[in-house]
Amino acid sequence: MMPLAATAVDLTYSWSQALADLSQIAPIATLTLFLLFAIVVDLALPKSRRGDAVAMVAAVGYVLSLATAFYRWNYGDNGPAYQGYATGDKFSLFFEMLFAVLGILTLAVSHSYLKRRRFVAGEFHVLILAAVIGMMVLASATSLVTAFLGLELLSISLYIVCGYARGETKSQESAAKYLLVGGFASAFVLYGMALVYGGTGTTLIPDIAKTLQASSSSNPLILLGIVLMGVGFAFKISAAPFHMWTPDVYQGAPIPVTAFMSVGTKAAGFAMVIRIFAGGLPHLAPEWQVLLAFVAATSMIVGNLMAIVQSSLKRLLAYSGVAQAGYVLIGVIAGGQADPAVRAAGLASVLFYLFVYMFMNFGAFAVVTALAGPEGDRDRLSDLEGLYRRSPLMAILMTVFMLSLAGFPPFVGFFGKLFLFTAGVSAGYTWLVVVAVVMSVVSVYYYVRVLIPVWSSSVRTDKLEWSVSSTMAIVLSGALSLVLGLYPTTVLIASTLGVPISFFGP
Amino acid sequence: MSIGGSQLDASWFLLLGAVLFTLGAIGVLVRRNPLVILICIELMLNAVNLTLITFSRQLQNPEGQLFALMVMTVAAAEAVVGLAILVEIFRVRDAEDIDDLSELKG
Repeated sequence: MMPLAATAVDLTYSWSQALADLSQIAPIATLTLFLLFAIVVDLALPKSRRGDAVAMVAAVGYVLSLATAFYRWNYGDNGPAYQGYATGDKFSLFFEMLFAVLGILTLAVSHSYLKRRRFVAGEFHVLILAAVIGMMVLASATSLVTAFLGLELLSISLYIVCGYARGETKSQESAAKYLLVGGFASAFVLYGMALVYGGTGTTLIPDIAKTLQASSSSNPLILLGIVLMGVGFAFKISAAPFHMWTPDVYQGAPIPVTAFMSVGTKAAGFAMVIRIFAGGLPHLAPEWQVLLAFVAATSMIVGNLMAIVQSSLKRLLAYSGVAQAGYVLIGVIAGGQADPAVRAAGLASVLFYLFVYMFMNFGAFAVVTALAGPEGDRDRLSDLEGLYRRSPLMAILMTVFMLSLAGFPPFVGFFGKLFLFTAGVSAGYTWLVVVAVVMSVVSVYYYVRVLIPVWSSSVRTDKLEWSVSSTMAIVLSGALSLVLGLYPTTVLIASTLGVPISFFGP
Repeated sequence: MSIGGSQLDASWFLLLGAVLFTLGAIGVLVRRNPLVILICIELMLNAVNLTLITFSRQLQNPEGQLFALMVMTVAAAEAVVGLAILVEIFRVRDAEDIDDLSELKG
């Protein structure tokens, strides 16, 4: 047998280096610590007190993780860690803050939901914690290995929570479909990664960029790798034509899970797409831009047209999510342009949109959470009938979310789309932006269709119970959808700061 | 590049990996039993492992082997979760076929 390592690996690892590495991934490390603590709490406490205690531990974990990320954003010395396998740059911190906020929102909405449906609460919060950690790992990964681990941590946790309504056949079906399709997609991503590794000789994304810059000829191995990874990523961000699983999985999963998943996996998937495609393969941008442009156009057309005929709100929002993935892809495509100004504008618009999409989409799902009874979710459009009489506040907020998703000014969704489309035009993809604008007009129809039952007079006057925590989460989402629309600069500046990804390479 | 002095080229292993991956992918698309689909996904993952290790050897770079170890761990976790979900389904209803899982549509 021949010796493996051609270059001698330096095996010394000093305490100061260990601390420096750990501080780069401090938000993830914090949350991981609380995950372990939550598992112990779940084991140690008596059954009746577990749920609340674990929820408390999770809440503290999310808040501390958010605070750590915020601190490091302002004062941290951000750079690569663990010999280039991870990083604590502003791009990853931006997503870490996003996921921590999403964790808090999910916790607030799911706590009362779990009680109402009499689910075991402790394990649920532990699994969501694990999924959030997976998303954060994905955002801060600068190696194909780390990215794969984050992706799988996120996916496997979500397979389980999708089937959390154990006795319910719909939930089981959702979990099984997500598992089989997700595993299939992971295998594609993985084979693509293996081929890129074979073509470049490294799994570190900055080194991949450097190797590709040095070699002028395009290697068929790497091109095939890009196609396979592209297919796998399209599955994960639920972009057409690889979206077939999305409506089924979203409909069958318990609503807080759907809300969490619809925002979280999408944001994490896009973080990975930007990292690997825009960061690691900028020299092959023309190749993957064609692929993504096709996927974006198909997603916008299929998603918007299919959403029109849906009668279940979960399915409608699932197809709307497919369409939204198409819009966001325009920004990613602009992020592959050689011109640094266009590239920065494109990627910043993606970060901006993902951040505001969290509030409007999560809010819409969160309103529906309250309709659920002990026997199951009620997510048909007719279940929303007369919502304005039953809860005027929620009716107004639902209107805000729908109009924001449709892209009406002054709501934040309008600015999100504006930035994405402007970036698309300046990148020279005018045809794609024309498709996007036309399909946005179509989308107004089905978003407004949701509002008709909400504002219709109905005989149903039964009071709906929103718990304090979920009301706060919904009001916060609604307020931010409006306020960020009036003052979009703060988030825009943050997303612009998050973009200069250090690994863009010389 | 020759391995162990014989004429067996690294590309043969890559080809075997590609063939196994394709077989697994076809299996996922064609077979209807959820358990068999799960096995086909495992076959795809192991085809990737073979590819990774071949590249690792060819490039004289240990990262590929590290990657393969990680993939094995993840594949084991995925199989455990997958089997648990399928067992839960089989306990509630008699679904020997993936087409029986068609309650959600629209």
